[in-house]
Amino acid sequence: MVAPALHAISDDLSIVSFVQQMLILSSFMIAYAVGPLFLGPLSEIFGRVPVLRWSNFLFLIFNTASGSVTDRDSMIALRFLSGFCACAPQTVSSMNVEDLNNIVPLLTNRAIDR
Amino acid sequence: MIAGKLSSAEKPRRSSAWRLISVPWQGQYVSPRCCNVKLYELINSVGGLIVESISWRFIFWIISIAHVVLQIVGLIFHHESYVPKILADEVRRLKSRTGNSNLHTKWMTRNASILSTLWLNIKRPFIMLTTQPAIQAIGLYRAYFYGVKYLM
Repeated sequence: MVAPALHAISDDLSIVSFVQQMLILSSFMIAYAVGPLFLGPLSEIFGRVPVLRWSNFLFLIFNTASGSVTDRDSMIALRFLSGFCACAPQTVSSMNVEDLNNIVPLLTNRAIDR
Repeated sequence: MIAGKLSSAEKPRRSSAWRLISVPWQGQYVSPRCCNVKLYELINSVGGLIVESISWRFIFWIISIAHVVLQIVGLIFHHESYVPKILADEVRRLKSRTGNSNLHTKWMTRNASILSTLWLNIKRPFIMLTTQPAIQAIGLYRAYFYGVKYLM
Protein backbone atom coordinates (compact mmCIF):
# COMPACT_ATOMS: atom_id res chain seq x y z
CA MET A 1 0.00 0.00 0.00
CA VAL A 2 2.99 2.31 0.39
CA ALA A 3 4.01 2.28 -3.29
CA PRO A 4 1.33 4.78 -4.52
CA ALA A 5 2.16 7.05 -1.60
CA LEU A 6 5.84 7.39 -2.48
CA HIS A 7 5.42 10.75 -4.22
CA ALA A 8 3.34 12.18 -1.40
CA ILE A 9 5.82 10.95 1.20
CA SER A 10 8.85 12.30 -0.64
CA ASP A 11 7.13 15.67 -1.19
CA ASP A 12 6.28 15.88 2.50
CA LEU A 13 9.68 14.79 3.82
CA SER A 14 11.51 16.70 1.01
CA ILE A 15 13.32 13.66 -0.42
CA VAL A 16 14.72 14.66 -3.82
CA SER A 17 16.90 11.72 -4.82
CA PHE A 18 15.10 8.94 -6.68
CA VAL A 19 17.26 6.28 -5.00
CA GLN A 20 16.31 7.53 -1.56
CA GLN A 21 12.63 7.55 -2.53
CA MET A 22 12.91 3.93 -3.60
CA LEU A 23 14.80 3.14 -0.39
CA ILE A 24 11.54 3.67 1.54
CA LEU A 25 10.19 0.60 -0.26
CA SER A 26 13.34 -1.44 -0.61
CA SER A 27 14.65 -1.04 2.95
CA PHE A 28 11.43 -2.81 3.98
CA MET A 29 11.98 -5.53 1.39
CA ILE A 30 15.64 -6.09 2.35
CA ALA A 31 14.71 -6.74 5.97
CA TYR A 32 11.70 -8.78 4.85
CA ALA A 33 14.03 -11.07 2.87
CA VAL A 34 16.78 -11.38 5.50
CA GLY A 35 14.54 -11.68 8.56
CA PRO A 36 13.47 -15.35 8.14
CA LEU A 37 17.11 -16.42 8.50
CA PHE A 38 17.05 -15.18 12.08
CA LEU A 39 13.40 -15.50 13.10
CA GLY A 40 13.18 -19.13 11.97
CA PRO A 41 15.96 -20.33 14.32
CA LEU A 42 14.63 -18.10 17.09
CA SER A 43 11.20 -19.74 16.79
CA GLU A 44 12.84 -23.15 17.25
CA ILE A 45 14.37 -22.03 20.54
CA PHE A 46 11.62 -19.95 22.14
CA GLY A 47 8.60 -21.54 20.44
CA ARG A 48 6.38 -20.30 17.60
CA VAL A 49 3.92 -18.24 19.62
CA PRO A 50 6.35 -15.94 21.51
CA VAL A 51 8.31 -15.12 18.34
CA LEU A 52 5.17 -14.43 16.33
CA ARG A 53 3.53 -12.31 19.02
CA TRP A 54 6.61 -10.27 19.87
CA SER A 55 7.47 -9.53 16.26
CA ASN A 56 3.85 -8.62 15.53
CA PHE A 57 3.82 -6.31 18.54
CA LEU A 58 7.07 -4.66 17.43
CA PHE A 59 5.74 -4.35 13.86
CA LEU A 60 2.71 -2.54 15.26
CA ILE A 61 4.95 -0.06 17.09
CA PHE A 62 7.35 0.54 14.17
CA ASN A 63 4.56 0.81 11.60
CA THR A 64 2.56 3.27 13.67
CA ALA A 65 5.73 5.27 14.32
CA SER A 66 6.64 5.39 10.62
CA GLY A 67 3.24 6.98 10.03
CA SER A 68 4.21 9.93 12.20
CA VAL A 69 7.85 10.63 11.27
CA THR A 70 9.02 14.03 10.09
CA ASP A 71 12.43 13.28 8.57
CA ARG A 72 13.90 11.01 5.92
CA ASP A 73 16.40 8.98 7.94
CA SER A 74 14.02 7.79 10.63
CA MET A 75 11.49 6.92 7.91
CA ILE A 76 13.95 4.57 6.17
CA ALA A 77 15.19 3.13 9.48
CA LEU A 78 11.66 2.47 10.74
CA ARG A 79 10.71 0.87 7.44
CA PHE A 80 13.72 -1.45 7.78
CA LEU A 81 12.77 -2.44 11.34
CA SER A 82 9.10 -2.98 10.50
CA GLY A 83 10.12 -5.12 7.51
CA PHE A 84 12.23 -7.27 9.80
CA CYS A 85 9.25 -7.83 12.10
CA ALA A 86 6.74 -8.25 9.25
CA CYS A 87 8.44 -11.37 7.91
CA ALA A 88 7.57 -13.39 11.04
CA PRO A 89 4.07 -14.45 9.91
CA GLN A 90 5.25 -15.86 6.59
CA THR A 91 8.14 -17.67 8.29
CA VAL A 92 6.30 -19.06 11.29
CA SER A 93 3.06 -19.93 9.47
CA SER A 94 4.75 -22.40 7.13
CA MET A 95 6.50 -23.91 10.15
CA ASN A 96 3.11 -24.19 11.87
CA VAL A 97 1.74 -26.21 8.95
CA GLU A 98 4.75 -28.51 9.18
CA ASP A 99 4.33 -28.84 12.95
CA LEU A 100 0.73 -29.95 12.55
CA ASN A 101 1.94 -32.97 10.61
CA ASN A 102 3.92 -33.98 13.70
CA ILE A 103 1.21 -33.08 16.21
CA VAL A 104 -1.95 -34.58 14.68
CA PRO A 105 -0.69 -38.20 14.97
CA LEU A 106 0.15 -37.53 18.64
CA LEU A 107 -3.32 -36.16 19.38
CA THR A 108 -5.38 -38.73 17.48
CA ASN A 109 -3.02 -41.53 18.55
CA ARG A 110 -2.64 -42.88 15.05
CA ALA A 111 -0.20 -42.24 12.25
CA ILE A 112 -1.24 -40.38 9.10
CA ASP A 113 1.23 -42.39 7.07
CA ARG A 114 -0.10 -45.81 6.22
CA MET B 1 9.24 -28.03 2.47
CA ILE B 2 5.45 -28.10 2.77
CA ALA B 3 5.17 -30.01 -0.49
CA GLY B 4 7.55 -32.66 0.84
CA LYS B 5 5.49 -33.00 4.01
CA LEU B 6 2.22 -33.19 2.10
CA SER B 7 3.45 -35.90 -0.20
CA SER B 8 3.70 -38.18 2.82
CA ALA B 9 0.10 -37.50 3.89
CA GLU B 10 -2.72 -39.73 2.72
CA LYS B 11 -4.42 -38.82 -0.51
CA PRO B 12 -7.74 -37.05 0.34
CA ARG B 13 -6.04 -35.15 3.13
CA ARG B 14 -3.22 -34.21 0.80
CA SER B 15 -5.42 -32.78 -1.92
CA SER B 16 -7.53 -30.67 0.43
CA ALA B 17 -4.49 -29.40 2.33
CA TRP B 18 -2.71 -28.61 -0.93
CA ARG B 19 -5.71 -26.65 -2.19
CA LEU B 20 -5.84 -24.69 1.05
CA ILE B 21 -2.15 -23.79 0.88
CA SER B 22 -2.10 -22.88 -2.79
CA VAL B 23 -4.98 -20.37 -2.59
CA PRO B 24 -2.85 -17.35 -1.57
CA TRP B 25 -0.17 -18.29 -4.10
CA GLN B 26 -2.72 -18.51 -6.86
CA GLY B 27 -3.88 -15.08 -5.78
CA GLN B 28 -0.41 -13.77 -6.41
CA TYR B 29 0.78 -15.58 -9.48
CA VAL B 30 -2.07 -17.29 -11.33
CA SER B 31 -5.01 -14.92 -11.12
CA PRO B 32 -3.53 -12.17 -13.36
CA ARG B 33 -3.74 -14.57 -16.29
CA CYS B 34 -7.36 -15.59 -15.75
CA CYS B 35 -9.13 -12.48 -14.49
CA ASN B 36 -6.68 -9.59 -15.10
CA VAL B 37 -7.14 -8.23 -11.57
CA LYS B 38 -4.49 -8.95 -8.96
CA LEU B 39 -5.33 -8.70 -5.30
CA TYR B 40 -2.00 -6.95 -4.89
CA GLU B 41 -2.96 -4.21 -7.37
CA LEU B 42 -6.36 -3.87 -5.74
CA ILE B 43 -4.78 -3.21 -2.35
CA ASN B 44 -2.31 -0.81 -3.93
CA SER B 45 -5.11 1.20 -5.50
CA VAL B 46 -6.79 1.42 -2.10
CA GLY B 47 -3.51 2.97 -0.92
CA GLY B 48 -3.76 5.51 -3.75
CA LEU B 49 -7.30 6.39 -2.68
CA ILE B 50 -6.17 6.98 0.91
CA VAL B 51 -3.29 9.21 -0.23
CA GLU B 52 -5.59 11.34 -2.40
CA SER B 53 -8.41 11.67 0.11
CA ILE B 54 -6.77 11.85 3.55
CA SER B 55 -2.97 11.75 3.95
CA TRP B 56 -0.12 9.32 3.38
CA ARG B 57 0.25 8.94 7.14
CA PHE B 58 -3.10 7.15 7.29
CA ILE B 59 -1.75 4.37 5.06
CA PHE B 60 0.46 3.25 7.93
CA TRP B 61 -2.20 3.88 10.56
CA ILE B 62 -4.88 1.93 8.68
CA ILE B 63 -2.47 -1.00 8.35
CA SER B 64 -1.87 -0.76 12.11
CA ILE B 65 -5.59 -0.76 12.87
CA ALA B 66 -6.18 -3.85 10.71
CA HIS B 67 -3.13 -5.41 12.37
CA VAL B 68 -4.61 -4.91 15.85
CA VAL B 69 -7.85 -6.62 14.79
CA LEU B 70 -5.91 -9.58 13.37
CA GLN B 71 -3.74 -9.81 16.47
CA ILE B 72 -6.78 -10.03 18.74
CA VAL B 73 -8.02 -12.97 16.63
CA GLY B 74 -4.51 -14.48 16.85
CA LEU B 75 -4.38 -14.09 20.64
CA ILE B 76 -7.55 -16.15 20.93
CA PHE B 77 -7.01 -18.84 18.30
CA HIS B 78 -3.27 -19.25 17.78
CA HIS B 79 -1.68 -21.86 20.02
CA GLU B 80 1.83 -23.24 20.32
CA SER B 81 2.48 -25.97 17.77
CA TYR B 82 6.21 -26.68 18.21
CA VAL B 83 6.42 -30.07 19.93
CA PRO B 84 9.71 -29.56 21.88
CA LYS B 85 8.36 -26.29 23.26
CA ILE B 86 5.02 -27.82 24.32
CA LEU B 87 6.80 -30.69 26.07
CA ALA B 88 9.28 -28.32 27.74
CA ASP B 89 6.35 -26.35 29.18
CA GLU B 90 4.82 -29.60 30.38
CA VAL B 91 8.11 -30.62 32.02
CA ARG B 92 8.33 -27.27 33.80
CA ARG B 93 4.75 -27.71 35.06
CA LEU B 94 5.41 -31.25 36.27
CA LYS B 95 8.69 -30.21 37.93
CA SER B 96 6.95 -27.59 40.01
CA ARG B 97 4.11 -29.99 40.87
CA THR B 98 6.10 -33.12 41.74
CA GLY B 99 9.43 -31.59 42.76
CA ASN B 100 11.29 -34.14 40.61
CA SER B 101 14.23 -32.26 39.08
CA ASN B 102 15.35 -35.18 36.87
CA LEU B 103 12.48 -34.75 34.41
CA HIS B 104 13.54 -33.77 30.90
CA THR B 105 12.49 -34.16 27.27
CA LYS B 106 14.56 -35.82 24.59
CA TRP B 107 15.33 -32.41 23.05
CA MET B 108 16.87 -31.04 26.26
CA THR B 109 20.63 -31.44 26.10
CA ARG B 110 22.39 -30.59 29.32
CA ASN B 111 25.30 -28.49 28.13
CA ALA B 112 23.85 -26.38 25.28
CA SER B 113 23.50 -22.66 25.95
CA ILE B 114 20.93 -20.55 24.12
CA LEU B 115 23.61 -18.68 22.16
CA SER B 116 25.35 -21.82 20.87
CA THR B 117 21.99 -23.30 19.82
CA LEU B 118 21.09 -20.05 18.08
CA TRP B 119 24.44 -19.96 16.27
CA LEU B 120 24.04 -23.58 15.13
CA ASN B 121 20.53 -22.84 13.82
CA ILE B 122 21.55 -19.62 12.06
CA LYS B 123 24.54 -21.34 10.43
CA ARG B 124 22.44 -24.18 9.00
CA PRO B 125 20.54 -22.32 6.22
CA PHE B 126 23.78 -20.77 4.92
CA ILE B 127 25.48 -24.18 4.80
CA MET B 128 22.47 -25.65 2.99
CA LEU B 129 22.29 -22.71 0.58
CA THR B 130 25.97 -22.93 -0.32
CA THR B 131 26.29 -26.71 -0.62
CA GLN B 132 22.92 -28.10 -1.81
CA PRO B 133 22.10 -27.61 -5.54
CA ALA B 134 18.44 -28.54 -4.98
CA ILE B 135 18.00 -25.66 -2.56
CA GLN B 136 19.96 -23.29 -4.81
CA ALA B 137 17.66 -24.13 -7.74
CA ILE B 138 14.47 -23.59 -5.71
CA GLY B 139 16.00 -20.43 -4.26
CA LEU B 140 16.69 -19.05 -7.75
CA TYR B 141 13.13 -19.90 -8.86
CA ARG B 142 11.58 -18.19 -5.83
CA ALA B 143 13.91 -15.18 -6.22
CA TYR B 144 12.75 -14.77 -9.83
CA PHE B 145 9.08 -14.81 -8.77
CA TYR B 146 9.83 -12.43 -5.91
CA GLY B 147 11.41 -9.99 -8.35
CA VAL B 148 8.60 -10.25 -10.90
CA LYS B 149 5.98 -9.75 -8.20
CA TYR B 150 7.52 -6.52 -6.96
CA LEU B 151 8.43 -5.14 -10.38
CA MET B 152 4.91 -5.47 -11.75
